[in-house]
Amino acid sequence: MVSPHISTQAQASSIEFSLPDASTAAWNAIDGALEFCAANMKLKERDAALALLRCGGDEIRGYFEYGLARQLAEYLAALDTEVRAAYVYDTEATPEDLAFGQVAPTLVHVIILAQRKTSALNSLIVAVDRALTQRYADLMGKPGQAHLLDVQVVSEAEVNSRSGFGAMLTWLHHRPLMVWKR
Amino acid sequence: MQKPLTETLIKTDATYLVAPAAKPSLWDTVLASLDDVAVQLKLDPGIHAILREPERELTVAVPVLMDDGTLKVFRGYRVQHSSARGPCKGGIRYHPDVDLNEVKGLAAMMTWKCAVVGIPYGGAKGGVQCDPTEMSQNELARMTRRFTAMIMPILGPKRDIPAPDVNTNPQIMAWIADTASMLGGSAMLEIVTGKPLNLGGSQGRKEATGRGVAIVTSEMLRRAGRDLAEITVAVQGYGNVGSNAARILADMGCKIVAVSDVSGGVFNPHGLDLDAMDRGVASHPKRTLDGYASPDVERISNEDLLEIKADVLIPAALEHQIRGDNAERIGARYIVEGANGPTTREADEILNERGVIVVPDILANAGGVVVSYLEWVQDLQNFFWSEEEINRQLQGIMVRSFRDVWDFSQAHGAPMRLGALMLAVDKVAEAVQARGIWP
Repeated sequence: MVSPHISTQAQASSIEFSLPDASTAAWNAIDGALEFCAANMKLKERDAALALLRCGGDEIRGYFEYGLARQLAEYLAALDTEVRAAYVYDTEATPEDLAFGQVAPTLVHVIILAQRKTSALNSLIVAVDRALTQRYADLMGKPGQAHLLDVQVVSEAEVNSRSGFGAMLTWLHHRPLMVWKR
Repeated sequence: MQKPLTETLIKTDATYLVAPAAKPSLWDTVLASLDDVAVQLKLDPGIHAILREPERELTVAVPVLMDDGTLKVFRGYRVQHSSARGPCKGGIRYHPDVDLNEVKGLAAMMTWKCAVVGIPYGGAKGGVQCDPTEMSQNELARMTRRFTAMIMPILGPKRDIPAPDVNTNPQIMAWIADTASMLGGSAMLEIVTGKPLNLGGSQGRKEATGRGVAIVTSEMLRRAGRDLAEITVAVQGYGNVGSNAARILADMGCKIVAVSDVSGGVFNPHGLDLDAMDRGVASHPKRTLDGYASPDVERISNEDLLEIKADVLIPAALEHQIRGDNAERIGARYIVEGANGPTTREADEILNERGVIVVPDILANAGGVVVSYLEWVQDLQNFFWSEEEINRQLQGIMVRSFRDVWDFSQAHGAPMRLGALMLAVDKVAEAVQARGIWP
């Protein structure tokens, strides 16, 4: 399938950029995440990963989350130079409790570290989240049952002052894992 | 075919070898609180000196053949802080930022936690500096097995029993148990807890922490002379711990007036309909409280929830939710810490001044480690109890532990957090004293 693209003419430098729109980015992100699952779980192909994901299971869900967060960060970073790094984290009260699995799939919790927070970045995240939801629901064959993103954007100032979710990057028990950095 | 060693790329990823931060390490913080408690308890200087050092610190370099044929060396740790009260117990975490001082601090915290709830364990912790997001299942399995083999001299069902922690899970515990069994030539499933149910795991583990939170909450209210039927509860965090605590407290007769998750919270001063709320969460694409709407329910933020005038607040989500900047506005009279470290030191002082009673995490969320203990007991006896029996045992241990901490705190005029730590150190010191110094 040919991906639709937004072409932007940067007149000053006469360089043409070609960046995917949110819908195409969602396709690419989920494809990329499935390939990441297949590679790490030694599955023959992306479709095998998708079949396993449909069946459920903590291992494939973990890899899917890492892969999806990484793809999301790469997309956001390509469009917004403020984006510095991406982390995944979990919200369960204790790490031991997290280990015992959850009844139902929950959100992929992502922290995006940006040099500063902007409404442009927030809008971009909303758009790609919506597109991911749709694409994931279609793939899983369960409209309304999609597994989506919870994205918290934190600024470098918040990390330095350890305020809000910025403080989380130095926490002891809910320590996020970096999945991408510029 | 495997390449000769000289041709493989040996990576000790420089990003893992980070310089120590300028701020005090976790170990420094743990020592500072131990020193404070030692003064208050008039602890024997010799015993104080013993508790200021971990009994054993093992650092290992774990070589792992990666899927691409390269060799990578990971740094791993196992620290046993104290075995005075029994075999050491504590989780193993996989994270790029794990370091020795963190593992030492966490090991000491496990010593205090096991002592507070009176289970016959000392404290330990382990970790491997690795990035699990970058590793395949096969690589994780090989790393876990080699790490297990390298720390095996100090592990054992009567020596040191690991458990899951950050980024480790029942599958990793199963690999550890299998590796130990293969090396020992006989089944040794009791060498770890947190195993899958069909491999010697215990019934009741999933709900254990939330159940423990509910038990200490009800016991505290009983001690305070409050009728559970008149109690309102707000729960921040609706994951495994928060949802189970809310459900069990509701079954006990409490009114759950507010809960929250990452999407925000819901509030009904007359009590939430938990069944309707769970159905709403289950039917929502994001599986969050966004999916629950009712004319009787008001949408609130996570910050709002902390300020609600409920009798009990259960922070069961993330760390550092109750801080110096919001402690004055906390609406509850009692706080039961379902999460690890939800209250900062600064907030703790403010809450104490305001007369808010805080049941500390070391006691409130110990239900998980108690059921780990029960798993180990069942493995050792090769006989497994029903969930009802597990819950009965958990109830007994948590009630007794709460009473011990409450009475000790009252007797010493200390807030419960300090009282719990004092009691824990006192119990460990007593064990050291009773055993004497060998030879």
